[in-house]
Amino acid sequence: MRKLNLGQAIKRLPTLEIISITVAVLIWQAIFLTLPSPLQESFPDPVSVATEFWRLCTVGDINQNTLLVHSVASFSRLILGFAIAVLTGLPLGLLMSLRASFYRILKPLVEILRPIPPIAWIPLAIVLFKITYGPLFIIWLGAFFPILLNTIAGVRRTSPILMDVAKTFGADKKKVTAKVVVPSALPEVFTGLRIGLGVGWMSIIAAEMLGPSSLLGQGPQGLGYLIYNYWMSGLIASVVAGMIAIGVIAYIINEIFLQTEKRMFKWRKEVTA
Amino acid sequence: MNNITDDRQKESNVSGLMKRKKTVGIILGIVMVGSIITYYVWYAGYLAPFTVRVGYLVADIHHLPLFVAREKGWYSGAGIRFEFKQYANGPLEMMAFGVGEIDIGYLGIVPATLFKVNFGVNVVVMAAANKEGSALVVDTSINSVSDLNNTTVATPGENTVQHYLLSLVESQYNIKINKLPIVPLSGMESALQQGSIKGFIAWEPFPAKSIHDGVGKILLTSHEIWANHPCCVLVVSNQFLKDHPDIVETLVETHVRATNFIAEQPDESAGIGAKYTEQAKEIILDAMQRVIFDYHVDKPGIKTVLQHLINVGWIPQGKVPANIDAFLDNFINTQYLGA
Repeated sequence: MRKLNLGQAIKRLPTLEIISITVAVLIWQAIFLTLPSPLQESFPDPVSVATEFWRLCTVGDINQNTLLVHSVASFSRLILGFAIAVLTGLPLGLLMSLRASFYRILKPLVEILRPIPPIAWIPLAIVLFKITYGPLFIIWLGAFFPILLNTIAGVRRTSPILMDVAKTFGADKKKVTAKVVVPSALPEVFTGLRIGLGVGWMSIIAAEMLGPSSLLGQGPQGLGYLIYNYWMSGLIASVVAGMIAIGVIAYIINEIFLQTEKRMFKWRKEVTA
Repeated sequence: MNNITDDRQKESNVSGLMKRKKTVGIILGIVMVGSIITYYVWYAGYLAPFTVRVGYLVADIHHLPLFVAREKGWYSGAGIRFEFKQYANGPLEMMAFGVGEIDIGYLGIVPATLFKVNFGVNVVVMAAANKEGSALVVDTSINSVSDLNNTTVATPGENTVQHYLLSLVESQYNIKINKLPIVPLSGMESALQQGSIKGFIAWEPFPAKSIHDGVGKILLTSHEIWANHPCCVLVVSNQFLKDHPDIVETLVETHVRATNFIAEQPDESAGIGAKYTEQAKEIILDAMQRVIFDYHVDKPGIKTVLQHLINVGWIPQGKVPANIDAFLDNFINTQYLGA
């Protein structure tokens, strides 16, 4: 087993990350202190947000749902919506990149639908997918397009030399796709999954405005709902506490993806750098 | 020789490119400065006469007095310009008050109270816009209130008068309802049609529209749940009231005049309401039957709402006014109503 010396151990500590967060909090406090007193009543300082964050973690909201309960509710919605996006985005991306006619048929639709923000879909989401599945549709919308577009880009970037070599050795079209195109596209596909999950998570507020009943049927739950509800009551410290929870979870998801990417695609310079 | 010609050609190209860049830079500069000046002169009205900024909510029939006064041209004054701003919901309008974007506005009593207490928005209620004006719409399979036991009914949010009204239904009829918040309200009718919910409670004209579209039926009006309950109000920023009491007095008088006009000319008022809410006139006429347009402020009713918000926790303990009656005296100012 390799032993770490003290210097290496210190280097591995997230010192710079901690400094960055501390500085951001200090700037926040400084901004708060410079505000005129009427605005200070509306703009929460770090201490009141931390207090509220702790209260939401331990006591919960007016329905006694804690921040953890809201986070689990939102995360489960995200995973379901994301899974559907993967199941639809990957095959469609492959099809669009391998068949020119498919690409030409679907490209205008994709390019028209892609820029529409998820929140705009709310009324149609209810009509098409009911209150129960509407939030999943909104998350799917957020996650689907990055997965689709990165799959297309990944497949298209496959080196023709590699495909020619495979063909020279007698591989048929199916084998070339399975053994050359798909593995070569994987890094881009993985990036698409990471971005898709991030955008899906960003759509959570819009998704949970639809109807926040828990998937387990335990009343209104979800971080998006928590934020929206507290905003509607003018309790901004609670809103910021919910925002921080969303941000922290997004950071953790992203880190997990990045580390997995590094391990899976060690052969790829851009990933390991 | 050729080299010299090439060099001169290159120099001339470079100088031409520089000139073009300069011209583009000047044009961009003029466009930017022009846009800023235009914004301040035209949109923000800095060089315009004194501007009174009036806020109201999108397509809310409870704000009919405002629509009538606007349509009749009663918002006028020597050297005064009126600017009307629409907001998607009450909290957004209260935040607009908080950041000084509007001076006077129509909105629900609940967001007005919550943002006054929790967010520190310094506004005062000058008059009521309406009383009642909500209804519980249910699926046609529901024949009595007890049929709603253990079913899901949509509300516009946990912190609304309508959510409170549904809680009252639960206690009055001894039933348990799964209250599901749905926003925007246009989604309620679709949810009912699809069977995702058994009913919804909303402000007019959403119930009237649903009935008009053949979706559901009205089981209870808010009159039947809590007669004469407070709903929307006319509020003004404290600073504006302090600086321009004469204008506020005129605006309250205009509001009273418009409210009286609605009672005297319901058909014409419905036409105006239809125009401003972009709904059919028959929907507005039906909706108006369940709305009481009354400018008198119901202080005990507002106190009940405030007490409910404290009880359920929407006003945290740390923010609860020490003396509720003193708070309400400060929050409600009926001096221009003559009440």
